Amino acid sequence: MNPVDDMPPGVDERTERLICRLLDGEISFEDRAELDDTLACNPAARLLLEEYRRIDAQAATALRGDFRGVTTAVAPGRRSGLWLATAGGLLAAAAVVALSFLPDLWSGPAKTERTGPVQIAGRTDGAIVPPSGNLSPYPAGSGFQPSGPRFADYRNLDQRPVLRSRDVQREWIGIPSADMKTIIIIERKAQTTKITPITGDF
Amino acid sequence: MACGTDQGDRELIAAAQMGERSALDELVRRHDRWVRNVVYATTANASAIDDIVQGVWIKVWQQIGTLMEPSRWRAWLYRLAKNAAIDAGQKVAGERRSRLAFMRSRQGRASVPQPATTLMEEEQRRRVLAAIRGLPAIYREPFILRHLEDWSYAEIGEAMSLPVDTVETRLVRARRLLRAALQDSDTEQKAHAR
Repeated sequence: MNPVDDMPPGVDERTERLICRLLDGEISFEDRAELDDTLACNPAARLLLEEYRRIDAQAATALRGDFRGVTTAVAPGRRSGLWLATAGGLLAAAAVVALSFLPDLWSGPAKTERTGPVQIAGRTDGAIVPPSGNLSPYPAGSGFQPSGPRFADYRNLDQRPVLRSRDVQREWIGIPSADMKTIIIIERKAQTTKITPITGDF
Repeated sequence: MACGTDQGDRELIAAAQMGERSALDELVRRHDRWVRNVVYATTANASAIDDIVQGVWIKVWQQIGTLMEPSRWRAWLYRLAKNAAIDAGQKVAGERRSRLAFMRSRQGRASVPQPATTLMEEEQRRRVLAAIRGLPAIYREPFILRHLEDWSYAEIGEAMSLPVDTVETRLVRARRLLRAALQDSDTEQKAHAR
């Protein structure tokens, strides 16, 4: 016999259907009265109701756990480790920093228009140094406290071409280095950020 | 969850068809979770959802001009999501085999002791998920849509372009098959324990 047609013992198809309607919240008043009458005199039907109720609860828990557990930013057991958390934080910070300094380049240099003072840290030997004044590279109120270097070198960033592309949920930003030998590709997704350096003689 | 395409959606669809990007962004905001549920119901595998859903919205942007009846938006979106999930599923199946091999190779190393109840719950969850994944697709999809976020028969029928009676029949059969599969799994487990 086809397992789909293999009815639970002692329960007819009509009763099984009513049990499913009840569990799915789709039962009418009349159907509910009919089912109550059946349940009152049929232990197999009561057993099936309890069994289906348990299966429903287990299925909902399993499916919701699977669906939400894996689609959150960090899936326990799949991506773990302090190094990854640190790297993730730094990568996210890089994107945040890049974005905080780049909106004026979105439409190209011709449209550059700053709404406030932007201070660029840097010195001519290219070392990573703190910016002058009290400027943090992390946006105020972002709550981000990185464990790595607190300052980055943004020399002349606003004079270099920055490539940006985006689709519905993803955005790519290409930032060339000062010597134009490397382009850092920042890929921002809704939940993750990835940075890939591409080295070459550009 | 509202059934059908509301007036707001219709206006957004019309604007998106005119090339208005912000309209699509709003459609994404409104329906992204719904699309995720559909993709998950099709693949029964959460690991690839982000990429698949992203692909779905790109297709929506590319093809929204072909949607002649905005009232059929959900059914149209369902088809796009389902097809994308099926395409991705074929790719994921191959990747899953290699990932399973990798996980097995790591199992010996990951020996963090866990409370017995947690292990039992995890085992139970795994068995139920395996049983659901083993259902034929025509029963599995409505079952997941129903149990993931309590979709009504009408909502499932609207998405899958099925009459409500058919949805109900499929859910009855899904439960019947699941019950049998879990009983078999119980029997196997007990035999294994002896």
